[in-house]
Amino acid sequence: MSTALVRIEAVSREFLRRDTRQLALEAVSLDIESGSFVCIVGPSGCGKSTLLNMIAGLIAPSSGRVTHGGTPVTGPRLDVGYLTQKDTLLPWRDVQRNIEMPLEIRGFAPDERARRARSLIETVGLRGRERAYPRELSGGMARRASLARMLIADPELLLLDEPFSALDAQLRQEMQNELLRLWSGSGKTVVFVTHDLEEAIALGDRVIVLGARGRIVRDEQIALERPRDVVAIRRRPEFHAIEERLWEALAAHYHPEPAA
Amino acid sequence: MPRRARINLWRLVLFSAAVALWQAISLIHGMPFYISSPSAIGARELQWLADGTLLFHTSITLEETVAGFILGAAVGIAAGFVIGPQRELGEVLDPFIVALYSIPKVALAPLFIVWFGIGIWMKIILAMVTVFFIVFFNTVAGVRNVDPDLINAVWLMGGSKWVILFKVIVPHALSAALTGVRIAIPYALIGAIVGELIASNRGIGYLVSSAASQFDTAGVFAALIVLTILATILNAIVDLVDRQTSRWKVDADLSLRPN
Repeated sequence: MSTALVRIEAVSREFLRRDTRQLALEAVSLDIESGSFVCIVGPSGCGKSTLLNMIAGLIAPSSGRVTHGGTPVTGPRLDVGYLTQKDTLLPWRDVQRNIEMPLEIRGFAPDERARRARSLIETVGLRGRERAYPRELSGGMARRASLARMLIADPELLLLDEPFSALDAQLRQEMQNELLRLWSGSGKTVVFVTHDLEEAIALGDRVIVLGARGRIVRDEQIALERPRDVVAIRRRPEFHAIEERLWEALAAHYHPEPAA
Repeated sequence: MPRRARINLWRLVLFSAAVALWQAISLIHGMPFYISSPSAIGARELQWLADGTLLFHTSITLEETVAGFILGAAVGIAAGFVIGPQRELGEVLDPFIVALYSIPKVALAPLFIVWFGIGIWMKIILAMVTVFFIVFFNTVAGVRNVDPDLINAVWLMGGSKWVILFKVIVPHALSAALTGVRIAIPYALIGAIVGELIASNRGIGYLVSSAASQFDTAGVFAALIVLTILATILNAIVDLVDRQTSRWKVDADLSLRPN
C-alpha cells in the first residue's frame, strides 16, 4: 500500500431525480495503486460508473474529494484515457484520423501523428483499415480503433467503463486478452468497471465489489499469475474459489431496486 | 446476359414500344392538337437545337437554378448556424419560420414579381426560398442533435470548448446540412420553373407556357422533354453526392420537418 495514484476520500454524490435527492455514492474511500489493474464490479445502479466518472473529472463529488497524483481532480486530464461501452468514434473521420484525434488536440505535427497512429493500428490489428470510416467497421474493429485512440497519447491512467459488454462472448474474450497484452509491462494504471464478476477476476490484480450507494463490500487481491490468458485462467480451481467468495459478497449485499 | 444489361435492354424495349405506339396512334387518328407525335416533337427538338433556342433557354433556367440553389444553401447554412445554438431564440422564431415554410412557394411568386420584377431575379429568389428552408431545418437539427457522447469523448481527450465546436459540432452540422443540400437540388429547379411559368420571356418554363398559349402541342412536349432531361441530370448529381458522402455522413433521420 505504498504509492496511490488515485485517492478517493470519503466521496459522496447526490443526484436529483424527480425532485427527490438520491444518493448514488455515500462516503466511499478507495486508493488505487500506481501500475495496478483494478476492477470494480457491482450490480447496475450501485454507483460504479459514477465513481469512474469522478476519477475522470466528468462529474464532481458532492462532498469528499478525488485526487490524482496528489492534486484534486477538477476536470478531464491529458494523462487519462477513457473508454466507454458505446463507440464514440467520429463518423466523419476515418480510422486513422480518429485515432490521431488526441494528438491533434495536443498539437502534434501531422507526420508525427500519422507515424504514431500507424504503429498503433499495427498493434491493435487494424492494418488495411486505416481509411475505413466507423460505419464500415464491425463491432470488434470499432473497439480496437477506440482502444488505439485511447492509447495513442500514452496516458498513465486508463479508465474503462464496461468496454466489452456489448460484444459477443468470443469477441469479448479476444478483446480482454488484447487489453492484457497491451497493458502488461506498460506500467499503466487501469480502473476497469464491469458488472461481470468473471471478467473482473480474469483481468484484475484486485477486485472491488460494490454494494448499494457504492459501499465497498469486498476488496480482494487476485493472486493469479501473469501473464494470463482469460480463457485458460477461468478453468483454474483458484479462479472458482475466488469467484465463489466474491459472488457470496455480491449476493449478500444485493438488493433489487424497488419498482419505480 | 448479365442482369444489368437485361434490365437496360427491357427499358429500351419499353421506351421504344411506347414511342412507336404513340407514333402509330397519331398517324392513325391524327390528333396533333392533343398528343402531337414523336416525329413532330423530334423535329422541333432538332430545329431548336439548330437555331440556338434550346441552348439559350436551357442556360437561362440552369442559371436561375444554380444561383437560387447556391444562395439558398448558403443562407440556409448560415442561418442554421446562427439560430441553431440559441434554443430560446429558436423557440421564439419557430412559429414564424414554420408559418413561412408552410406557404406554398408558388403563391409567393406574384409578390416577388412586385418586388423584383419579372426578370431573372424573381426566379432566383423563388428557387432560393425553396432551397433555404430545406437546408435551414437540416442545419439547425445538425447543430442541435450532436450526440452528447461524442462531445464527452472529445472533452475527455482534453478537447477545449473550441476543439469541440470545430471538430465535433461544426462537422456534424455540416454533414446534416449536406443532407439538406442534397435533397434541395431538384427543388431549386422546381422553384425556377414555377417562376418562369408564372411570368417570363425566357427559360424552359417559358418555352412550355408560350408553346401552350399558341396551341403548339409539339412545342410543349419538346420543352417538357428538355425539362425531364435536366431534372434527370440533377438527380444523377444527387446520387453522386450520396455515393461520395454515405461512407461518413451522419444519419439525418432526426432532421427534416415534414415536407
